Amino acid sequence: MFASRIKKLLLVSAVLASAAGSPARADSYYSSFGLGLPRYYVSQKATGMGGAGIGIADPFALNTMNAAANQTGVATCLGVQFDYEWVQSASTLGEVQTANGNAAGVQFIFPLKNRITFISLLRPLTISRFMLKADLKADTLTYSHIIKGNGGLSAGSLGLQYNLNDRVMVAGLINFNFGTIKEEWQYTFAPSGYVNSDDQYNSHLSGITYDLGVLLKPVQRLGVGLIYKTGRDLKQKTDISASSGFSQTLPEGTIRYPGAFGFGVSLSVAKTVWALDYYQQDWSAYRVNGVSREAFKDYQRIGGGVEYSQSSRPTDRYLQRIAWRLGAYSAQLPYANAAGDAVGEQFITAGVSLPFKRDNGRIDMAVELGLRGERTHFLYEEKILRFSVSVMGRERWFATGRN
Amino acid sequence: MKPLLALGLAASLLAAGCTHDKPLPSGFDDLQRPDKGELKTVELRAVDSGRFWTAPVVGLAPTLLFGQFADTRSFLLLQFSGLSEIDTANVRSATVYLHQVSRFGDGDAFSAIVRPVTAEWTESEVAWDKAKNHYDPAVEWGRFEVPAADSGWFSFALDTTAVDGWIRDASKNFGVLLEFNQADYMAVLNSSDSDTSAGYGRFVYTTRAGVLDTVVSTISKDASLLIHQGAVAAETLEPRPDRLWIDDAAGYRSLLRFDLSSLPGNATVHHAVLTLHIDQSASTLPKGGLAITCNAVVNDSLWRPATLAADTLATYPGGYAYSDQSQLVFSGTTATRAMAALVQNWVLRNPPNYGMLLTGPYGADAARISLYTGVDQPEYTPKIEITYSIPPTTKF
Repeated sequence: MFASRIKKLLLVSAVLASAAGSPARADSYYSSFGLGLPRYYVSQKATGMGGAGIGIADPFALNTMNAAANQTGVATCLGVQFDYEWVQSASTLGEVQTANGNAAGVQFIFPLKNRITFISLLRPLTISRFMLKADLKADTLTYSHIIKGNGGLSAGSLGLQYNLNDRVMVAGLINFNFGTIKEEWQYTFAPSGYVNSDDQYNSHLSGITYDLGVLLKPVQRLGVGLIYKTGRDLKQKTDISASSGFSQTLPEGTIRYPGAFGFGVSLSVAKTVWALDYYQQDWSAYRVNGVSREAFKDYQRIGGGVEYSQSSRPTDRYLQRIAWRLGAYSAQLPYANAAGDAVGEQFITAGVSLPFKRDNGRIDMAVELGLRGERTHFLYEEKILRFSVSVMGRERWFATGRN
Repeated sequence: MKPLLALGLAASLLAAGCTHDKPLPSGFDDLQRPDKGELKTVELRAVDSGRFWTAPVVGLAPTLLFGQFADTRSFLLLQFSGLSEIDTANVRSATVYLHQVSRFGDGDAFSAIVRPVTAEWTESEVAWDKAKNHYDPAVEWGRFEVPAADSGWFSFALDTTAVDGWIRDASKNFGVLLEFNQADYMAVLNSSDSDTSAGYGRFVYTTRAGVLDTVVSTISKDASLLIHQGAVAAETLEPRPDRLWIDDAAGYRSLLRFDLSSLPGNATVHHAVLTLHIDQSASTLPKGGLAITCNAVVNDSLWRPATLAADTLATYPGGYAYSDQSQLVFSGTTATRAMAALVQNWVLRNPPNYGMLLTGPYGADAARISLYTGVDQPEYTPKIEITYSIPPTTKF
């Protein structure tokens, strides 16, 4: 029964993978910069705990940030995530609400040999989605000039995790980065005698980066995670397709996708798990064809949270096995205003984990409520409510000799 | 069950709440981009012009032209159907009725002669050059006067022996040619391709039983045979004349070219208005206006009339010129959009900018419009106002 269910999940995840081209975020003005807003995701468990999870090893938390922290043992694991987001964007001229959702990631992990686990991931790295409109007038002619942005950078990752001695785990991933940043520029005229236009600018990105992760467990209840992600000049090719019939492929260029590092600690105390993470991505190194285009700052994020679960024994009552999570995080986004001040965002998070099928699966849900930017120094203040859900299942498919 | 519920919840959210096309209330101006594109308007003057004429082939036009106006005259070809149903060859009378709807020019009634046609002809192909050798100018099958009227029916009698001959041998029924020696105006008649009041023949005959009977036969085929007698030979380009002509009876059409080199190759054309200045003193425009269409020249930068071809797009710029206007402005919604498409194609070099061909409804009437080229009066040079956008700087 369960085997058929996880195969269904596999099928669903394949569908999700095909839908991964569309961002799982609502509109944000700040996603109009660079490659879009960085999407920080560790695991669904971490999402409810302020995103902190680099140092958490949990058999039911498929860790995409620190691959070394995947403690899946002999089980083959599959996880899929959805994000759904509401954003109220307010400027001095008014406000607008947008909402959007989509698949947000797939993980498929299985044991290869003694202490070696194969890891495959599909995840968005940056997300861009916005629509800006200018109502203009030239003499008596009224018209609108509109830009719609959509897309982002994603990564398909393959790698191995090695469990050295249950106290030291290391992992490496090779990330096949890909994605399309789409821009749609429109002219819409009030008089019907004018021809509206809709021009598509699609920038295709590709390139390989690498992730390294380490998880140290000096004592059973303490976890320390370290990650390092390489940066890379991604290949970039822009196709222009105008409604006028004009089309052009621009010469191939490069975009520097920056490297990152982070660390996190986790501590189990009684029925709680506490976690704290710091992460930094070197967006100040962002370059387009070797040239710095905008005032980019480093992305810095600090988050922490706690999980409470009355029991983890499968034999206990269901309600006792439900895990509850709380957390918060603060991040400095890569984009700065003219004065050099970087945009920030602050969120509080909450989550719940529901076991199913004899404790071999988890439905993890999280809610994040936050604020991005403000109107004193920046153009927009964005109030964000994000709901995310992950379905994760594990079962033994292969005999590996491991216990 | 629970995972399916979770998946269902996620799918419902996706299906119910995705929003699009909600622009943020500001931010376009602050979008970090060196150039966000720009809308521009430019007014260009014609840099080249020309005119030529070709004899119109107008057998399928809804009107017939008979008479003379200015330096163009027109004869008529008529052919009747249904005569084989008459069961005798004893025709007592044959009368042809034609319906005049207007005329170009004034003057007295003019005399016309009916001549036999000696060979088969096709409406879609016949012109004077082909027909002039296939009728018998020595035989007269009737003579009549075209009344000096603006409109109304008139008729003429046809030689009954000729009709007898058509009844006896339908393969000899090639119809008649109506000609004249001199006329002061050109009558516009409804043709067999008109929806209303087309001409017909009325044939009175005695049946084999000795009964007097009448049959009305429609005109199955007709065509105007237009003969332009200008100083310039047909299919001869007159470059840079001081006036452009579009003449429905003579077959004059005109060419214009604008220099679009100031428009970038990636410009998007949103609007284009062509303005032509009319020399009313040399124009004859009907009350309902003269329809003029513009098509891009697709194959000949040298404008050789014999090989010049225009586009055959489904929509093309068009406008009406009226006798009380000093300008013909192609400003209608359809016209500006179609003109924008035409200019856009030039910008994309699809086809290259070989210019445009201005034409009228040839054979429909004897209207003529004379347009300034700016050669003698530069302020009246044809102009085109183009609104276009240049694209933004690409994001990367």
